[in-house]
Amino acid sequence: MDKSVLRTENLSVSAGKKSILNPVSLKIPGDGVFGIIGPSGAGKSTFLKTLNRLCELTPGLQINGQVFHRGVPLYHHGVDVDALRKRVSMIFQQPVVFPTSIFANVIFGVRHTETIPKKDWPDLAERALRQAALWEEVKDRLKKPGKELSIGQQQRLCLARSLATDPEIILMDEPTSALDPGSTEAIESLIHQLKKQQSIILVTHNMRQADKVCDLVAFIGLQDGTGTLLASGSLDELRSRNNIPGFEDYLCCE
Amino acid sequence: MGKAAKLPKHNRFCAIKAASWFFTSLAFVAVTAGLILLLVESIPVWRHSGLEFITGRNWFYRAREFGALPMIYGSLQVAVIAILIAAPIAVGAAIFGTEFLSGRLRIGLKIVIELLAGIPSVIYGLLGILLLRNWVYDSMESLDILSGDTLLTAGILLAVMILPTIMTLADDALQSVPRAQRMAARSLGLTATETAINISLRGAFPGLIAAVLLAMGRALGETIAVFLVVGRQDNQLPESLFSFQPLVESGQTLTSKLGGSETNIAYGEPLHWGAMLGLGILLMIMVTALTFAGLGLQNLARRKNET
Ligand SMILES: Nc1ncnc2c1ncn2[C@@H]1O[C@H](COP(=O)(O)OP(=O)(O)OP(=O)(O)O)[C@@H](O)[C@H]1O
Ligand SMILES: [Mg+2]
Repeated sequence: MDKSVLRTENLSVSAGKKSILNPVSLKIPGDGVFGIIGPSGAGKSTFLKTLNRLCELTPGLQINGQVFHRGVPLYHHGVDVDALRKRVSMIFQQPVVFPTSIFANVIFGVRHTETIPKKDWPDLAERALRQAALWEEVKDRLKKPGKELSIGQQQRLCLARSLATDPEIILMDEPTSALDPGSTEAIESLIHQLKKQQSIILVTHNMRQADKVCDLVAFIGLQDGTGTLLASGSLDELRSRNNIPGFEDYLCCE
Repeated sequence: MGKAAKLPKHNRFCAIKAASWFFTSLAFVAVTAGLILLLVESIPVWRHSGLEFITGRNWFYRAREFGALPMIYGSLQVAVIAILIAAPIAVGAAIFGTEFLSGRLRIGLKIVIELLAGIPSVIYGLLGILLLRNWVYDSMESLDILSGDTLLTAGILLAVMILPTIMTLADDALQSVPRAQRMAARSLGLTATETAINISLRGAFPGLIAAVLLAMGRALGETIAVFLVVGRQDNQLPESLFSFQPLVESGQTLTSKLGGSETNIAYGEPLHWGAMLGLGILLMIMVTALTFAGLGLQNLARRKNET
């Protein structure tokens, strides 16, 4: 029985004739944090976006192969893509706060995709903000614009917005690379908390972070200019192997 | 090579800056001087009629009676009809273009729009006479109308003419909503339509209103096409502002009045000439107010979408 929450099978991405990602076959277990590491331009973000089919919203990208979510193929007609994206939510490198209040930001997804009565929104927002460890900082100014928050708080607001829709999997694309050390710390300890309920797939550039929060990692490197899955396993395991092309260069330069 | 090319970089920059200041001030002075000239020349009519010039319902120049209200009414009516018809279509098409069309079709649409925008307005006027006038006459026959030259005809024609303006500006407004916001909304599970409404339309809203205001300014100022189909009937002010009848009657706008032969007749007779220039000032005020409001909103929208 396949226990992985997500499994890709020969999943490749290209832009016209240019291949961006060579076929990737990878099993991602549901428990814990799965890290994706690799040099810049290797296709980590692209890979992440294939997992909730966000990739296909970028014109000009072709996606081949298959992704299975608990054994169910995602690239298949009849799949409700919007429902999928709600269950497999995404956090971006730069926090994307909508130009509205903190409160409206948190309930944005819920309000438009669910039929929860309006009177339950405040409770729901509070729960999501608490989960994102932001409640204490914003509880007195929920009506203020979300853009007034610091970048680190904005990223936690985005996290709260995703959590409010109760996703099963959260994809995070370098969520701390735009943040100061303090905020990075906050997000990292959040990830520790969240992984008890959610599966988290985390792209990171930072080996310290990968060491700290990831249970397993996949290393995507560049071969002949195309992103290729070169190894996966625990980080210690990867370090102890010395036949992964490009891995040592990657480690030393980080 | 010119001298400027040999100047050191810093000096060259200063020269450009100075030149741009110079020409900006020149333009400003020219516009202000023009306005002052109009104002001075129109003094006789203000002396003669005072505010009656704006509120008066009758214009009989031989009787030295100058009331501009029917023309203000005509101008506004025609512009409002044009906006009511064009805005929904143009904004709808812009949304459809930015949110749902792929690259190549979008570019095709843009080219068509730009072509439409490039057609000289007199051609629109001729097409209006050729196609629109009879159509209005035939379809409004039950209302017992006298001719196809009506405020409605002019409004419809203007709607076609300002369609490209609104579409282009609406497109800019929608484009200025960051792509990342659309992506974030989609990754929360919103459909394309929900995203278009809740992210794109909401984010672009001030810009879309600006587009409509700027287009309305253009509609108010348009002369020759309106001139050809509006009927140019003076003193047509309805008793009730809310009846449909005046729309299907001939009327006069500020521009169609100014574009007509009366302007030439008036020249040389200070009071009459002043009255014509007074109409010009009223037009300027209306158009400038709309333009400023539009540009202000555009700025607001731009600041709102900055991240
Ligand atoms: N829409 C697109 N069209 C063409 N090429 C693209 C497109 N999107 C991404 N690419 C290319 O795909 C490659 C991988 O990009 P991607 O953003 O996935 O890399 P990454 O590993 O996330 O890099 P980084 O660590 O810098 O974020 C890059 O070479 C990029 O130029
Ligand atoms: Mg990336």
